[in-house]
Order: sequence, then structure tokens, then C-alpha cells
Amino acid sequence: MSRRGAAVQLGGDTFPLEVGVAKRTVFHARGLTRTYRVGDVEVQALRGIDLELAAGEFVVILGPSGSGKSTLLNILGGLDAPTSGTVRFEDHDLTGADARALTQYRREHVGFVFQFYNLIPSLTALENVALATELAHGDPHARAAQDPAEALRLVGMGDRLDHFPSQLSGGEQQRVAIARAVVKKPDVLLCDEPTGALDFETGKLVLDALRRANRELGTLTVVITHNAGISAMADRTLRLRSGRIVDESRNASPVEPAALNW
Amino acid sequence: MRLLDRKARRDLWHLRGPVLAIALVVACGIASWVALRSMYHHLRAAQATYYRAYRFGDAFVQVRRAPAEAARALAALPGVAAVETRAVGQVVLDVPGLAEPATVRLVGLPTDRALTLNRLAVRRGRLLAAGASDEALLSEGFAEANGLVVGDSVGAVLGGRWRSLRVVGIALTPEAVYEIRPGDLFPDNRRYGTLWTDAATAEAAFGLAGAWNDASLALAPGASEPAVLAAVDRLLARYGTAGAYGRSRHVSHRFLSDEIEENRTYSRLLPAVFLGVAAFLLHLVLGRLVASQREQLGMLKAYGASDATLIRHVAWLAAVPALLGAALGVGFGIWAAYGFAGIYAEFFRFPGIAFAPRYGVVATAVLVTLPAAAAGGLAALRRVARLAPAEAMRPEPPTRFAHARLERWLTAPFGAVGRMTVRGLLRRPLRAAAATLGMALGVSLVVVGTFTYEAIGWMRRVQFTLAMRDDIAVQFESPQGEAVLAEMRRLPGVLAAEPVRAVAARLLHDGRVRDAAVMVPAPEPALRRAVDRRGRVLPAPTSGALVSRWIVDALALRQGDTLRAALLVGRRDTVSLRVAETVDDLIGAGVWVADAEYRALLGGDLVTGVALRVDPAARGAIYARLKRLPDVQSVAVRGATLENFDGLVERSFGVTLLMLGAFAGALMLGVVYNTVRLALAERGRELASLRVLGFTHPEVARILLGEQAVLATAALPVGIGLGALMAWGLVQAASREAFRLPFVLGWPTMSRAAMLLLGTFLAAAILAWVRLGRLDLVAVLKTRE
Repeated sequence: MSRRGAAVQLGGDTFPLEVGVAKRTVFHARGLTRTYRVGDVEVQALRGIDLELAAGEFVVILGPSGSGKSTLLNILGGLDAPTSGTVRFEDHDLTGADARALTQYRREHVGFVFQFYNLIPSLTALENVALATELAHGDPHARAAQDPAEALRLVGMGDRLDHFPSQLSGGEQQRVAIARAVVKKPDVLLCDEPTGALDFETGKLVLDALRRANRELGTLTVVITHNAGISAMADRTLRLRSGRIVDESRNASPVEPAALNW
Repeated sequence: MRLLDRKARRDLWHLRGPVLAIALVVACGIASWVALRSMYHHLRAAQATYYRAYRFGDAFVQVRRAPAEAARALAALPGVAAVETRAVGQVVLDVPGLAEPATVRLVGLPTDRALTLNRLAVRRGRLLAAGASDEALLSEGFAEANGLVVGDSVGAVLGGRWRSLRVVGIALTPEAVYEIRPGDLFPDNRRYGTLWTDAATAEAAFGLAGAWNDASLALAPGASEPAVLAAVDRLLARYGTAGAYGRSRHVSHRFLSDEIEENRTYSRLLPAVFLGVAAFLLHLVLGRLVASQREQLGMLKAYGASDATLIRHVAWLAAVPALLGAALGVGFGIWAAYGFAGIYAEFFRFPGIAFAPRYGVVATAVLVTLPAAAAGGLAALRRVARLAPAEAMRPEPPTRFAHARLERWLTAPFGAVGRMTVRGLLRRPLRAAAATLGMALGVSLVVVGTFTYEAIGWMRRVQFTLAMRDDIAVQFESPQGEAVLAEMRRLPGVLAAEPVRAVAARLLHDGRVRDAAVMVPAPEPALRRAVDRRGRVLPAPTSGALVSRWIVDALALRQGDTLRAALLVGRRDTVSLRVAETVDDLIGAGVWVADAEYRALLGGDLVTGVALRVDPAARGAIYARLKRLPDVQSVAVRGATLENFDGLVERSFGVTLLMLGAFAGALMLGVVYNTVRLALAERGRELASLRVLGFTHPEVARILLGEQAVLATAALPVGIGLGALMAWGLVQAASREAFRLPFVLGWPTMSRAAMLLLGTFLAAAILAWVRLGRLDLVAVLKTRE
């Protein structure tokens, strides 16, 4: 297992970046490309990405629309496969895995937070979270999940357990979604524009919930956004443009979400 | 708005699956309307035209023997416009090419004048020549079934003498549109028909020289039928009459009129069921369309599209499946009507009245689809009208759910997936109920169809394996003494012979009248037994009479009551019988009395027939002998009757069952397919989110189909219940003197309904499975609904 925290590719050369505290690397991606064919048009979403992500990190991936950040997230989450290159999650090779193996991978290791929350409208907050533990239940590989109510308290939703999504505000729904994502103690939490549909104050509450989950559970958290303001709370920020990582910066003293401004 | 029309066309193409499914349901409704309504008009018009053109009688009466003066007296009665009298009876006929003896109704015809009533429609050849006593006419159905043509000869023992008769014509009569041997369940054209000879020959055959035993009457316009019937009875009392009756109790007229009425009833019921379900499906599909196009419609309003324009746009989407279904239904309905007309031509014989589609029926078919389409589209159109442009541009809030006491109680035992199912159902209880009802109606159609088949199978078992166990039943022209049994047993090949003691009687009680046979059950082990609807063999009563429930109900009798029976044979004209017990039987209507009581009532042995068991190898010889026996009125061969019965059931009910099955399938598929598709559309994003969270393909399929499975499971008992109710209605409606349908709902019926429902559910499940495999997991991360 590599001791390097990350590597970044600039202009075709790879620069290994040493980090002070050696953390266990969970994701290894090498030479990732992804080409879509939309009708008669070929779209190169990713043009060669090398990436390593370590356990417990809070990583923000910034980039404008069409920069390939969602594609990268989908590949990390086992929803999409690269056209070339390899991705490994610990000892799982995601590149050659079939749909069944990817489902199992998502089930055991990944938590997702969506831009539009994607809660099940017919289940209460508590039940939406319990759904994720129900999935892990009976799965021999699953670790002991958190108590769903505990997960909701972690995101500050301890008093809304019995509410249906239609009875919650957008920010509240997103915090339930975060509780749902972290309740099974995933290795990685993938968040796609988690504050994209929220106002400033509500967005900060949601980010606070993410930060707490990251700190208290030690979950590797990857947030993709085009809101540069969020990068102030990250351990590391990657910038994507046209399918390439164009910049990478480390943040020695991340700020608390409450202090963010954008 | 040409571009909007283009959008409508593309939306329709996108929705082609549901549109087609709805069109099929509409088509079933319209096809049943067109086919049944056409049959109703066709049969009714054919009946009316035929009766009028050939002067079918209004009232009828049979007597033992009446002189010519009595006919003149009848004609002089007030209210009587015309009278036709003749000699009528049954004889056994030798038909070339038919091994067993046929039975015909022999009717005497005047050769010196035209008939005033019940005129013959000569289809081939000519009428009888004056004084040609060796000429005969045959009814068309009988001639065709036996391949007889003008110039062929048939033979019969008439008046104790073997006579060969030359067929000079083939004819139809309004008296026998439905030509059935008395006591039979179905017509058997090969073995029963009508034979016309000149009056003298017929009179001689029944010992009626110069006299008559059958009269038909035409009533004067405005005459009261009951008054005329009563006057006729008074006038003919001394000639031994079983009582005059109107058309309503004329066998052929009754069967035809019942069939016409049945067509009318079903032509209203079936389209209502199908169009109701179609309206519900349209409501679902358009509701979904408007919900998913909120933003498009809002944008169009924001750009200045008027409510009227958008309503017209959505109304088009409602009209297309309705009109497509109507067009399909009209086509299929006309095709089916020709098919029905072909089947009816076998049962009901009309001269030269061919079926032709009616434009009025087709036009009303299209007219009735429009209200169904309007009902289905109404909610969607209202939503379009109410949509505020700004509101429409915002994303739809999450579907509203809230706790309720019932909901808490119902969801308590389940995990998250179970709760999703229960809440999904509770949130739209009306939709769930309507979907269940739609599927249940499909189930009920299968139940009714299969029930008819099962009921007929049960009747067949009761009649042909439990009640009738003889090979050949012989009926005599006039009652015989016991000696005839010994004579029959002496015939080579006869293994057993049993007397049949059964006389036709008109039963009277409390001013009500019914025809039935007064019979003596033979001692066990009998060839002919009295059997109730459960197949139990009835023992002979020790005193009093066993009476069919049919008669008990029709005459408003109670146990211990006494009824009067007017007899056409025997010592006395009327006898009294005490009702000892009621028999719940299926076929015919009878009164059973003890042997001693029968002898006491009628005086003497009065053997009216014999039931024979014969050596199969000797059948030919026995048939030949029976054809030449004097006094034999009718011969019934069990094997042939059974073969005819099975053939008719196969040809007529087979088609009906197949069509009902197809219609039920279309109904269930329409409901299941559309509800599953709707669920996929409404919950696709939710299910894709679950897939992203790590749910497997089978797990999300289980969530999606769970609700549908609950509805289908509920639909099965509801449908069987509805079907049982309809079957019960059918049993009541089809309750006739000749037979009562038994109410039997067995495994074949229920399992067939369940299989069809399961089949459609599986088809929808496969569709759902394939669609769930194609869920775009990436898109849900980015898109809002």
C-alpha cells in the first residue's frame, strides 16, 4: 500500500505529494479516461486522471459544469466505468467489476449524498435512515451499523425522526440524506453538490453535518461542487477542468463550516 | 398550433404502450357493444319480419280430438281473427343414411287452400300437390343435417302401415325457428325435425279422420289475450284440452325471445364494464402525463398559450386511444357479429334474412366512447387549466405523506420496504381500489365464462351418467300395457328393458299453470332415475308427489298443498296430487308419484315408453326393428344425443369462452400494465436512488411490484366474488322449464381465473424487470423530478 497521500498530474508529469501524517490510501486511480457518445457527438469527460484518496480525508473537488467532476465521482462510486485506466478501492478492482459486484461494493463501502436529497417520500426520516441499515442487515460483510436515531442526532435531526420528507425543509431533507449515507459507517461518503439546491445558511448547516460525520466517524468524504467557498473547510482541494486535474491544494487549517463565506 | 400538434403526436408515440393497452380495453367494450347490439337488432328484426310475413299464431291449444265444428266455433269467438286447425303428433322416421330412427313432428297440411296462419317458407321444391298422399315436406335444418334433398324418400309407420314418402319440398315455419325435441337440452337437427304431409295422411296417422288435435289462433287487434285464452279453454273443455297458451309459452318463441333479451342485457353490461375501466386507465395515464409535463405546460403558459389551446392539446391525447379503440372495436365487433350470426343460423332458422351490419349501432359505438374518454380525461384537463405558469416552473414538492392512526397500525409489523408498500397504497386508496376493481372485473369475466362451461359439464354428468343410463329410450304414441315390456325384451340384442311411466300434464294451482311430466321412478337398479342437482338418486315417494322446485316455485306451492294435473291420456281429464316433498333438480320439470298412485290416478298400467340396454353389436338390427314398430312416437339414442350435446357445447360455448378469456385478458393486462408503468414512471427516480444506495436489481423490483402484487392478490377474491355474483345472476336468468344451470364454482373456474391474473401479472413483472435494468443511476444524482 502506498505511503503517498496523493499524486497530481500537471502537463503530463506526475508529482508525488508527500504528506506529513501518513494515512491509509483507500482509492488508487491511474490514467482514468471516460468517453461518452451522445448521439453522433463524442464527449471526452475525463482525459487522464491519476488520484489517490486517503482514509478520513475531507476532499473537495471543484470545477465548472462539464469539467468531469461528476463523472469522476460516479466512477469512484461504482456507478460508471472508465473507458481506460484503473481504479482500485482498497483490494477491490472497480475497473473490471460487473454490475452485481458494483452493487455489493456500494452497499458495503459507499455512502451517497445527492443534490436533490432523493429521500423516499413514503418513509419517515427515521425509516429512510433505517432503510440503509436494513440493507446491511443480514449481509455477512457489513460491519455493525450505527443506530439510525443516533445518525439523525449526529446531523442535528434528532427531533424530527417521525417526519415525512414532505414535512421537512430542503436543508432538513439533505441532513436526513446525510444520516442515511453515514448510518452504515461507509468507508467513503460521496456528495454531489450537496448544497446546490439550498440557501446560504441552510447549506452551512448541511456542511456542518458532513464535517461532523467526517470527524466523528472518520469517513473519507468527497464533495464535488462548483462553489469555491466550500474548499476552505477541506483538507484538500482538487480543481478539474476539461477532464483533467489542473490544481491541487492542501489546507493545513481547515475552517469550521459556520465560518464559511461565499 | 402546428408545433403543439407535433408535440401531441410525439407524446402519443412515446406513450404508445399505454395508449395501445387502453385502446384494446376500449376495443373490447366497443366490440361487445357492436356485436351484441347488432345481434339484438338482427334477431329482433328477423323475428318480427318473419312472424308478420308468415303469420305466426298468437295463441295455441292442443286437444285430444275435436271435430271441424269446433274450429268454426273457435273462429267465431270474440277477439279471434283467424284459426288454423290440424292433426299434429310425433312419429319415428327412417332416414336414408341414418342408422338410428329419427323422430319428427308430423304436421298435416291442407292441399286445397293456403294456410291462414304459420305459413311455410318453401326453401326448395314446392308445396304438396292436391291429393298427393305420398308427398312430404321436411324442415330445412333436419334435411340439411341429414343431407336430404328434393326427390329423396323417407319412410315411417303411419296409422299402423309402413309408408314411403317422397320429399317434394324443404320448408321453414315460424313455429320452429328453434327446433328442439320436447325434453331435450339442445336441438339435434339430425334426429329431430318437422315433417309435413297432406291433412288426410296426418289425420290417419293419429286416428283423427275428419278431426283435429292442434289449433293456432290469430288475435284481433286490441283483443285481450287472457280473455281469449279463457274463452278457448271453455269452448274446448269437452274435447280434452291441456289449456290454451299465448306466444310467451310457445317453446320456439320463448327460446328465441330469451336469446334476444340476453343480447340486449349483455350489450349494455359488457361495454359499461370495459369503458369504465378504460376511463380509469386514461385518468391514470393522462394524470401522469400532466404531472411529468408540469414544467413544459407552465412554460407554454408563460409564453402565452391559452388554457383552451392546452386543454385541446391534452384532450387530443385522451381522444386518440378512445377513437383508436373504437375503430378497432367496430372492426372486431362487425367481424364477431358475422361469426355470431353464423352460430345463430345453426340454432335459429329464418328465411332469407341475412345479417348485415347496422350503421346506427356503429355510430352509437363511437358516441359512447366519447363520454368514457371525457370522464377519463377530466381530472387531467382540470389540472392543466389550474396550472399557474410560475408554480409550474418550480419543481414538484415531495409526494405528501402523513401519519394516520390506521396507517400506524397497518405499517407497524413491517420493515421499511413493507411500509413503503402500505403507505403507497393508503396514499391513493381510490386509485388502489379502482385498479383492484379493474383486475377483479377481468377475473370475474373468466369466472363467469368458465362457470358456464363447468355448469354445463355438471348438467351433462347429472343427465347422461346419473339420470339416463339406458342406451335407447322408446316412447309410444299411446300408453301400452305391461305386455309391451316382454315384447321388447324378446328383441334380439336387448339386454334389459325397463318401463317408463311418464305422462305429459298441465299442472294448475292458484290460477297458475305449468307443463310437466307426471312420472313413476323405476325400482333400483334403474336405467332411468330421478336425480337432484347434487346427483343424489331420489327414491320413489310412498305417498303424495315429489315435485321439482321449478314447479313448486312457479305454482307458489307449499309442502302439503294439493295441485291439479290436466292429463291428455288416461281415464280422467284431471287428477289431484298432494305435494309431499320438493326436489331440487336440474333438467326438465317433473312430478314423481308412487307406482300404486300412478295406476290409481290414470287407471291401468299406462306404460308410455321403455328404456333399453342393448348389446352394441345388435344396435343396427334393433334400430331397424324400431323404425318399423307401430305406435312408436319417438326414439332417443343416448350416445347420439351425447355426441350432439358435446358438439354443440364445443362449437357455441367454446367460441364464447375463448372470447371472454381474450376480453378478460385484455382488461387485466390493460390495468396491470398501466399501473406498473405508472409506478415505474412515478417512482423511477426513487428506485434509482435505492439502486445507488446499494439495493440490488431484484430488491428494487420487489419494492416496485410489491404494491401491484397486493392489488392483484386482493383482486382475485374480489373478482371471484363478483364472478360468483354474476354467475348467480346467470343461474337465475337461465332458469327455465327445460333446465336450470347449477351454481357450481369449482377449482377449474377459480384456478383458471387465478392463472390468467398471474399470467398478466408476470408479463407486467417482466416488463418492470427489464425497465428497472435500464434505470439511469447516474441521472438521479443530478436531476430533480
